[in-house]
Amino acid sequence: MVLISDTSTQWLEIPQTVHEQSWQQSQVISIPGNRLQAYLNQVCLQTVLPWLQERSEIEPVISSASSPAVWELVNGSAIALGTTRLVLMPTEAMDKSEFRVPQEWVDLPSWVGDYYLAIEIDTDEQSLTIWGYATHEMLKSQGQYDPGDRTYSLDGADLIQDMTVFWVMQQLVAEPTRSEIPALPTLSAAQAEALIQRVADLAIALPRLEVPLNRGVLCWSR
Amino acid sequence: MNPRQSITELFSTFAKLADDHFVCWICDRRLRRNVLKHLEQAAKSDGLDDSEQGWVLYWHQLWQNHPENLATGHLSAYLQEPCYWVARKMMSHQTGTQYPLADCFQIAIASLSDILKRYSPNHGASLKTYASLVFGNTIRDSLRQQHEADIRTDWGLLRKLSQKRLVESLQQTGLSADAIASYVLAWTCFKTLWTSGDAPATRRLSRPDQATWDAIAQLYNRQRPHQLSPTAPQGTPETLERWLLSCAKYVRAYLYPATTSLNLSKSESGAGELQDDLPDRAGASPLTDLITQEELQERQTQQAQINEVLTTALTTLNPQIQTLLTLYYGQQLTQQQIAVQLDIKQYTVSRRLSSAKESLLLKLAQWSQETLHISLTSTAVSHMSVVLEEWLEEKGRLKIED
Repeated sequence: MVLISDTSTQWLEIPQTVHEQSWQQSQVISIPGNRLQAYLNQVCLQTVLPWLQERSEIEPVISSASSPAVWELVNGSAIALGTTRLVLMPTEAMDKSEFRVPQEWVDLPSWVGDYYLAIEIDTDEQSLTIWGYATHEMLKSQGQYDPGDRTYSLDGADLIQDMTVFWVMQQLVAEPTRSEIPALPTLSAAQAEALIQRVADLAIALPRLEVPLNRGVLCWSR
Repeated sequence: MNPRQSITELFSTFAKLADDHFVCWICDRRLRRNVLKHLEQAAKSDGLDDSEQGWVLYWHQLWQNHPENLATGHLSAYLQEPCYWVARKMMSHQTGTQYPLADCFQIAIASLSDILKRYSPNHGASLKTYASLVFGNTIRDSLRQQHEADIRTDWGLLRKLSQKRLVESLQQTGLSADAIASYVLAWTCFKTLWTSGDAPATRRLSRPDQATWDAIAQLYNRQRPHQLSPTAPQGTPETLERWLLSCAKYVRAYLYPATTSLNLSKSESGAGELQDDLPDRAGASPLTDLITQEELQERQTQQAQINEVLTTALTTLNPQIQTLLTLYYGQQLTQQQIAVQLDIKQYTVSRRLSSAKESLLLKLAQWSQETLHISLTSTAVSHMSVVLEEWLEEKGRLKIED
């Protein structure tokens, strides 16, 4: 028996207009790597959205702040498919060794999603592939927390790498997808203001890592 | 390749390959001795399933309980055939650069421990099927990554990696944990501060300019106290460049594993010295792990039911889609070949195939829930997807034989 199922790997082309627009809009960001991150997120969102529209019976709606200013700070964006929240997580990496998700998307109650999609963007071929997905529960229970860059990561092989499964799940009664997460501590307006001031300094290349953990997380949500 | 006939051969011989063809089966004496011992014991017990499938489940169970014993070797021997056929098929579908069959085979068989770890015998699909899927994906992914590495500059390659892959490459060269942490931080700073200013493409990414090297060093030193141990060295532009170039070198080495001592006996298991599980454990009567005829019968009944469900579901698909499935699974054409034959776009072929699989999988999932009372999680349905894949392959083969 020879099994080679290549039906689950699909490359989506990034339309030229999406590419040009995203590149142009990312130019406001001065730090090169963060600029590219903003570009990746924008092309990802603008390419996956029409694909969802074509495949899903429910109209997908962008449900996160999606602008270069946000993507400069945190990777990822969210789309609502009815009551199901999808988090798109673009990466340049070509190996499927790991799936790395910023903590904001996992521990912030208003950011949490049901399904997290791992998406490789090939900027040279101008195309992308959704190579797998995980639930919030998988990230929270099996994911490794890395304090260095404040991410949860799963081994690539622990993802569901068959997108047929994803579409079947959308037609069944919803499965439990989320782990419980504790509420955030409250922060006074003055404290928040101080933190915002700290990260607003554009000369900081890795602003996410400049403020204390749970406060930083809180800060983005404002 | 001449198929192996006996249980003894199946679980104790390894394929010897030349660059692009199969040469012969080579017997591993220790494995052979072990199989013979187990067969002898099994003959003394009644009501055990001594089929190929029964032994696969037995060795897998033994592997789960004692991963250090010979079971890995037996299962590696067993999976030689599917690995060979998948490697061959991938070769025939390759366009552009040709990699020798022996290389593809080795890339695939290296995923053995992952396969054993993730295979779940209780979900219906055979180990052969599951392994074949993983072998195919592994070869496809590795070839693509090698191709990318070939056409990328060191700087472009460094951008195209996950952190985990970088760390694995550094670990393989034997660097200390502290050194790895420094390299990873250097890499993060590089990725944050350097990419092409003209376009998002990175294949031909050039070396950072001097101002960028200064900035990378500055960022590294700013992060150093937070991320590294107190003894970690300060970074200068020169040391950081040297580290990053080493990273690129180690990553390339990781992508092209040396093809020495190909696939003989236990060498590929990576588990070090394996121990004979008999006679040391003879007293523990490991054969109680062997599944019984009764269990086997249960499995067969379930398979027959699944076959019925899927056969019915298949007839409800429109004839066009059925033709597509026959071409793909029966005649084993590639999506590209089907596109040419039916004069449609490859994208359309791919989309129709996945939508056909989707509707069959949906039926199978619903049936499993109603009849077997399985709660439908993504993980459970992904196991069913492998069962479906196996069924489609089998069905395709039967159609050809008709």
